[in-house]
Amino acid sequence: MSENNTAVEKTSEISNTAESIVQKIAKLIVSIMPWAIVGTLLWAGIFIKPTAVIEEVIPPVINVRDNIFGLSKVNSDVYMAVGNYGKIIISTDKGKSWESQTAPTVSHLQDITSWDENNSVAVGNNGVTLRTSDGGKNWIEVESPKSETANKLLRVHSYPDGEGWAVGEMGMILQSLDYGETWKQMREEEDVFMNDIVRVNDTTLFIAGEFGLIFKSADNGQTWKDTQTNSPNSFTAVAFRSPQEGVVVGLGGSIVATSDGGETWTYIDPKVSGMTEHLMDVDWSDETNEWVAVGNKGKWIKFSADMTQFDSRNLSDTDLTSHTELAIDGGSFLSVGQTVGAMEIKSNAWTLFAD
Amino acid sequence: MLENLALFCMRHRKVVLGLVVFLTAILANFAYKIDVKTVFEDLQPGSHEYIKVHEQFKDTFGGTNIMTFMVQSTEGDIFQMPVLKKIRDLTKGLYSIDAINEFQIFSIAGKKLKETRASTVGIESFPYMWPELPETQADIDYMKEAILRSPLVYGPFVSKDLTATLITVDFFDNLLDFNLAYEQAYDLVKQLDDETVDISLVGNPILYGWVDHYLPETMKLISIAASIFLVLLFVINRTWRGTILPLLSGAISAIWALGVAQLCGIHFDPLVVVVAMLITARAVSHSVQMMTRYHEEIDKVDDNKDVNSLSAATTTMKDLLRPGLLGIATDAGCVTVVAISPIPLLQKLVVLAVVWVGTVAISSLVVTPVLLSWVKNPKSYAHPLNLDLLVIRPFLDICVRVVATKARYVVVFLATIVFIGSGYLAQDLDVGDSNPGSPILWPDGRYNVDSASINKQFPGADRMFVVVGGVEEGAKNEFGGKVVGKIKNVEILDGMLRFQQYMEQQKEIGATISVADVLPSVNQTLREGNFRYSELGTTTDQNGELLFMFERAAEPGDLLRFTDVDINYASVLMYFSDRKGDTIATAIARVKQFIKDNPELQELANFRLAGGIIGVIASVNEVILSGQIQSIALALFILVMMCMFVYRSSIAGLFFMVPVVLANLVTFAFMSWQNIGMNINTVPVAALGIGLGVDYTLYICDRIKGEYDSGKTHLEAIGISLHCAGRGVLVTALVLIVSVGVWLFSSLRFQAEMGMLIGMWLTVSALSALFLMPAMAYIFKPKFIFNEERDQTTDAADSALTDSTPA
Repeated sequence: MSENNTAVEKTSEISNTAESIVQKIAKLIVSIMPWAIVGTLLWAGIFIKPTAVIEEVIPPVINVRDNIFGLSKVNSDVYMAVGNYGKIIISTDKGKSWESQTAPTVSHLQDITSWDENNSVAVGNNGVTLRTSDGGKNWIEVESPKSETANKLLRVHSYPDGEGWAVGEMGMILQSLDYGETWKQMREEEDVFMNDIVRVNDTTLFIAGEFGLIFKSADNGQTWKDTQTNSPNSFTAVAFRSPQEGVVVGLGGSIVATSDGGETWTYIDPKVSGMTEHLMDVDWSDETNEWVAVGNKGKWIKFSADMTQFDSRNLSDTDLTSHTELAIDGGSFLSVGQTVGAMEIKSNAWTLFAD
Repeated sequence: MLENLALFCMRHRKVVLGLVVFLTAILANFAYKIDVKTVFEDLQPGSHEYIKVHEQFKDTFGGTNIMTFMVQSTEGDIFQMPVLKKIRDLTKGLYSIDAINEFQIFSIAGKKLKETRASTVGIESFPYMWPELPETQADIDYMKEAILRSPLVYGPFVSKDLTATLITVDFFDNLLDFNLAYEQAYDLVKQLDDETVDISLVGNPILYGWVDHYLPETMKLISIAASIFLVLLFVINRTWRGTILPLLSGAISAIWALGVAQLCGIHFDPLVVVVAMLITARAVSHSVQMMTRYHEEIDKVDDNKDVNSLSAATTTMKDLLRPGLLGIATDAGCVTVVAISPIPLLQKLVVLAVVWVGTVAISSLVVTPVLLSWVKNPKSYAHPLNLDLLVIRPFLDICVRVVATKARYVVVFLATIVFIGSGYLAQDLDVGDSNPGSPILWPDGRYNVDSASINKQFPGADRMFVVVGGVEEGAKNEFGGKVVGKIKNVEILDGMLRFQQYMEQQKEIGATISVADVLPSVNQTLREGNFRYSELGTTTDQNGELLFMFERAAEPGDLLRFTDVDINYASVLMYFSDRKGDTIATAIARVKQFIKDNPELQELANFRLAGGIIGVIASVNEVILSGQIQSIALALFILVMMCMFVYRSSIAGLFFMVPVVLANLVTFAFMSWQNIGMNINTVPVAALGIGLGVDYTLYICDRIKGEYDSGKTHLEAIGISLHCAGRGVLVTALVLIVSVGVWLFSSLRFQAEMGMLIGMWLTVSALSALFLMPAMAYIFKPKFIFNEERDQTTDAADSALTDSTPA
C-alpha cells in the first residue's frame, strides 16, 4: 500500500517536474515576449524608414526630344537611322517600329549609309565615324582625317565594293574603299561646307556646297571643279536620276537642275516652285515619276523631271516639324527629322510613326 | 492617490465648478477670435532640402501659388477672332486680381511668349499678339504658323489640337489672400465664359479657395452632427442631464482648446476639423461612461430608500478616474508622436490636440460627476421609451453569452483572420495622393473636372523645377570680379538637355523646359535655319554668344524664367499631369538616378531637388513616408509603456495593443481598398486613432478587474463590466458613428473620407472592446485583470476543502 503510494507520489512528482519545466518555459516566454515587442517597437520607431516604391519607366525608342537626322534604306523593309546624342535605330517593318542600337559615342550623328544588311557607316559631329559589320550589333569608332577648325560630317553615301564617301564642314571630303574601315581626305581644307555628295557614274561625283556652289569631280575625286549657280542660298542635297539629269536643293526653297550631266544648271525661282522654306533632301520616285524633297517647318514638294510642274505641300495641318532626310519606297517615302513618318506621294497622306 | 483627488474635487465641488466656469468664460473670449484659414507654408516641412531649394528660388522660377486658366474654343481652333479676343481679355483681366506677379504672366496674348526670327541685324523676337490683336486673316495665319513652329509654345501653352490655350499667372505669396483670389478669378471667368469658349481654372489659390468656400457647409454639418448626437443621447439616456452633460463636456473642451490655441497664435485649419470632431467625440465618450456608472450606482439603492447623488457621483469619479485618465494620457501621448514630423501644420496640430485632449480630463472626468452630484431626482426619466430594455441590454446579453460559451473561441479566431487579412491588404497603402486631381475635393467637383480637362489637353498644370549650377558664395573670377554665366558651360547645358530627355521618358511628365531649350533654336537660326544645327554651341564661348543674342532680342527679364540674373543658376521646369504619390516618387527617384549615373556632371552642375508645387508635395510625401512606421511604432510604444506602468504588468501592454493594432490595420486596409492615400491630412487621424482605439477597452477591463477584486467570479465580473462599462461603449459608439455619418454628405471629399475612416475606427474599437477583449480576458485570464493573490487564496480554500473531504 505504502509502496504503491510512493510510486504514485513519484510519478506525480515526475509529472510535476515535467509540468513545471514546461510551465517555466511558458512563463519565461510570456515574461520575455512583452519586452521583446516593446524593444521591437522602439527599434522600428527609431530606425525603420520605408522608401517609396518606384514605377519602372520604359523609355520609348524615339523620344519627343530625339532629332533623327540621317536615314538609310537597307532593303525594302529594313531601315537604319541616326540622330542626336549618338542615337542609332533600326526598323525591319518599313519604319513602323524601331529598335535601339548602342553607339560608342554621345556626339550627334548626322547620317548613315548601308552597303548591305551587315555593313554600315554612320558619321556626325566632331568628325565621328562609326562602322559596323554585323548589322549594328557592334558599332566601333574608326579613325578619320580631321580638321583643326571644325569637323562636323554631314552626309555619307555608299557605293558597290565597299566604296564610301562622306562630306562635312571645312570642305571635308572623305573616301573609303573598305566598307568604312579607313578614310582618306580627298581635297584640301577650305572654309566651305560640303553638304551632300553623289556618285553619278564610274568617274563622276557631285557635291552640294555652301553659297550656291556645286563641286564636280570627273576623276573619281582626285580633282574638284566648282560651279557658281544662280542660287543665292546654300545647297543641302544632290540627287541624279540618270548620269545626265540631276537636281540640287537647298535653303530658302532653292532648286537647281541639270539635264546635261552638270555642265549647266538651271535655277528655279522659289516664286515658280511655290517653295520658300529650306529643303534638306531630295530623291527621285520611279513609281510616281517625279522628284520629291523634304525640309523645314513641315514642308515638302514634288516636281516633274522637266521642271515644269511643282506641287508644294505640308506634311499635315499640325505637323510643322523640320525634316532632314527621306528614303523613297515605291509610291511613298519615309521621312525623318523632328518626327518620323511615311508620306503617300499621290494622296499626301502622312502617317506619323514617332514624335 | 486618484481616490483622494476624486474626494477632494467632490468636497470642494462648488469651488471646482466656479473655477471651470470662470476659465471657460475667459477662454471663450479668445476661442471666439480664432483664425480659421489655411496657410500653405504650414504644409511645408521647412527643414527638408527640397523646401530650402524651393524657398530660395520660388520667386525666380515659379512658386506654388500658380493659377492656370485654360481657354478652350467650343468650335474649331483658337485661331479665330472671337476666341483670340477672349484670350486677350482674360490676359488683361488678370491685372484686376490682387497680389498677382505681373512679371509672371504667360499667355499668347502677353509679352513673355514670343516668336524668335532671324533678320538682317541678327535675331529679333516679337510677342504673338501683344499689345494688339492681329487684324487680318493673314495675320492670324502667320501667328498660327509661328506658334506651331515654337516648341516652347506649341504643346506647353497651345494644345496639340490647337483648340485650347493656357494662361498662367503667379502670385506674390506674402500678399496672397486665397479667398479673394478665388473670388476675383471666378468673377473673371464668369464675365468671359460664354458660347464661344469654355474656361477652366485650377491652381493652389483656387483649391484652398474652394475649401474656404465650403466653410459654411462645414459649419452646417457640424451643427447637424451635433443635433443628431443630442437627439440620440436624449432618446437613449432618457434624461436631459444625459443629453446636456456630454454636450457640455465637448463644448468646454473645445472652448478651452481653441482659446489656448488662439493664445499661442495657432490658427484653425478647416482641414483639421475632423481631428477636432474626433477629440470632441472622446470628451463625450468619457462623459457618457461617467453617466452610465452614476446611474448604476443610483440603481443599486433600493427604491424606497433616499438616493444620495453626491455619494453616487463620488464613487463614480473615484472608480473611473483611473481608466479615464489613462485613456486621456494615451491619447495625448500617442498624438504627441506626430510632432516629430517637421511639417509645421502637424506640429501646431499636435499642440492643439494635446491641449484639447488634456482638457477632457477636466471637462469630462471632473465636471460631469461634479454636476451629477447635484442631481435632485436621479430616478426620474424624461420619456418612457426605454431602449435599454429593448435593445441595449439584449445586445449586451449576447456579448456576455459569447464570452461564456465556446463562441469566444470563434470570436478570437475571426479576429485573427481579420487581422491577417487586413494586414495583407494594408501593405498596398499609398503615400501621397492615390488619384489624379485633388483628393480634397470630389472627382465630379468643378475644380477636379477643370483639372482633368486641362490635363487632357496639356502636358500638365502642376510644376516642379530642379535647380542646376550655382557658385560658392564670394567666389571670384580670374579678374577678381563676380562670377557670372556659369550656366553657359557647354557641358552643363548639354547635361541639362540630356537630363530633360531622361525625365520626359516618364509618361506623367508631359514636358520639360530650360534655358538649354532656347539655345539650339538660336543656333539653328544663326546657321541659316539649317535643322542639322539645332544643337548647342560647341564651346562655352559660343553658348555665351547664343545666350547674348537671345537676350538682345528678348526683353529684360525674359530669361529670368530660366536662369537667375547672373546666369549662375538655371532651372529645369517639368510639367506633371497628376500629383499622385507614385508619380512624384518615381520622378524624384529618376532625378536621383540621373545624378548618380552622371557623377562628373553633378560635380560640375550640381543638380538640386526640387521646387514648385510638385517639389513641395514630394518633400511632404517623403517626410510622411519616412515617418509613417516611426509614428505608428512610437505611438504603440507609448501606449504599451503607459499600460505597463499603470497596471504594473508587462502583459497589460501587449493586451491593450490588440484592439489598437486591429483597428489600425482594418482602417489601413480600407484606405488602400478605397484608394485613399496616406497624406498630410490622414496622418494625424491615424496617430490619434492609436490612442483612441484603446479607450473603450480600458474602461471594460478596468471594471472587470474591479469586480473581480471585490470577490466576483470571472464570468460575473465580465458580465457586470459589459453591462455597465459596455453600455457606455455601446451608446457612445452608436451615437458617434451616426453623427460621423453626416460627414459622408460633405462637399469636401476629404471630410467625407475622414468621416468614413473614423466611423470605421469607432466600429472596430467598439466591437473589439465588447466581444474580442472580454473573450481574450476569459481565455487567457491575464493576472493584471484577474489578480493572482486573490486567485491563490480561493485556490487554497478550494484545495483545503477538497483535501479535507476524503478524511
